[in-house]
Amino acid sequence: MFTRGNVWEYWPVFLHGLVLTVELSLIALAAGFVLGMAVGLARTYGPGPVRLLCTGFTETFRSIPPLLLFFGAFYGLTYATGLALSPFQASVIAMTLEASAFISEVVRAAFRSVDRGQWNAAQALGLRFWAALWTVIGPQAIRVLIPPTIGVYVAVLKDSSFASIVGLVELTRAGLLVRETVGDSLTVFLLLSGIYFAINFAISSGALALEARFRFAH
Amino acid sequence: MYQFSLYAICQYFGLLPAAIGVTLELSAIALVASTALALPIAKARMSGWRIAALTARAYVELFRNIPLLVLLYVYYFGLAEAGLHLSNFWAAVLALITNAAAYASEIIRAGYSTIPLGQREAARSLGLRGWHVEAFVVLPQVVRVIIPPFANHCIGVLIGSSIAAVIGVGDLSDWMLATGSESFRYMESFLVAALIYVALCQAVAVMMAALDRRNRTAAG
Repeated sequence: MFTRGNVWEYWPVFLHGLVLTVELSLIALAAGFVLGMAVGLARTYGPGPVRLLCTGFTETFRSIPPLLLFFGAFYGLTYATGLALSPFQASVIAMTLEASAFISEVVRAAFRSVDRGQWNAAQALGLRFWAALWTVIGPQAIRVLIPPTIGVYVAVLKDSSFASIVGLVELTRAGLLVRETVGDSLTVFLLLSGIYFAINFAISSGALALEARFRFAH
Repeated sequence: MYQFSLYAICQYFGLLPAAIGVTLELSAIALVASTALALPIAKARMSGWRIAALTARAYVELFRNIPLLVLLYVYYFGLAEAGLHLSNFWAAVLALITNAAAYASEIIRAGYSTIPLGQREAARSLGLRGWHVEAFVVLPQVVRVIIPPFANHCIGVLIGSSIAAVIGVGDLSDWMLATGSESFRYMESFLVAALIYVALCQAVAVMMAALDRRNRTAAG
């Protein structure tokens, strides 16, 4: 039997992993937001064929398990294109695709929730499509959009744990490494659960509070 | 020079039906068991009994906020160390059940909140009592309302079942991992597995939409 050390002595490993997890999920959320906004808007206002294409994009990336996306982005792209993607880069690609599919749904729902009359009013004021979208419809949609986007962030943060399968030492992989060294599986994984729970619970509670505030502001 | 070729992995196609079978089995067991668990959780959360409501809320928050993969590691490696040895299949099922029950209970709770109180009063005034009111008047209406969100939930469980590959259960994702690392045809095995997942999800969506339509027409 191996000697059992103390899991708590390895707190810098967990901290380092946690920083990487947060970094990765924030980058993916930002990139996913841009891509998801484009896809969502194209799905809502684009011409028929574009709409169909974007629906296909959303449906596809919503239906592929994150495990596959990480695998495909890391091993698949590396072997198929010869690009030497680092685990971090591959993880960003995988999670951006996933996040953008979720966010495009959120965007579509948010923009469709804006009353039809708002478009008519903007038109009556002589605003063209983009001007109306930017100054009239957009600001109203953004309020509806923020709470579910935070929900997407929680999902992305949780799914970032799959980056551990491509060798990125984020929080989950940090835990696996400590487990290999110390051997105390139960403590390690309960600690991981606790850390993920604390972050995600804090974020989703914040989202709820924000949602309540927006509701009153109307 | 790399050339895309499905032919290079066609010798592994024979293993696909069994792998898809395991994915469906995992998802089906998890869905049925988690839904059965979700109903009392939702009921507890809506009940006036504070301790029950609080416990249910704690359960939902806890299991919604822990990544499935980490949950799987707790059950498979953590519990084994504590003396409870689960097989890899049942560890994966348990992770899926405990996670899905949290989500399903929220869907059910939202469903209950749409049923007007008058329905219960009307049922009682017609002479129905106790669980009859629930079983014959309230629940059928709840079921009808929750079909669309439940369809998304089913897809979520199906996708989530891919965690099982990490501990080698032999599901569709595991097929991809094994095929990729044996043939070095990572892109091909990824695309085949991804396509099958998309097809399975679409099939679930179509079935649930048909169920929803039938219910709507039945409701008139």
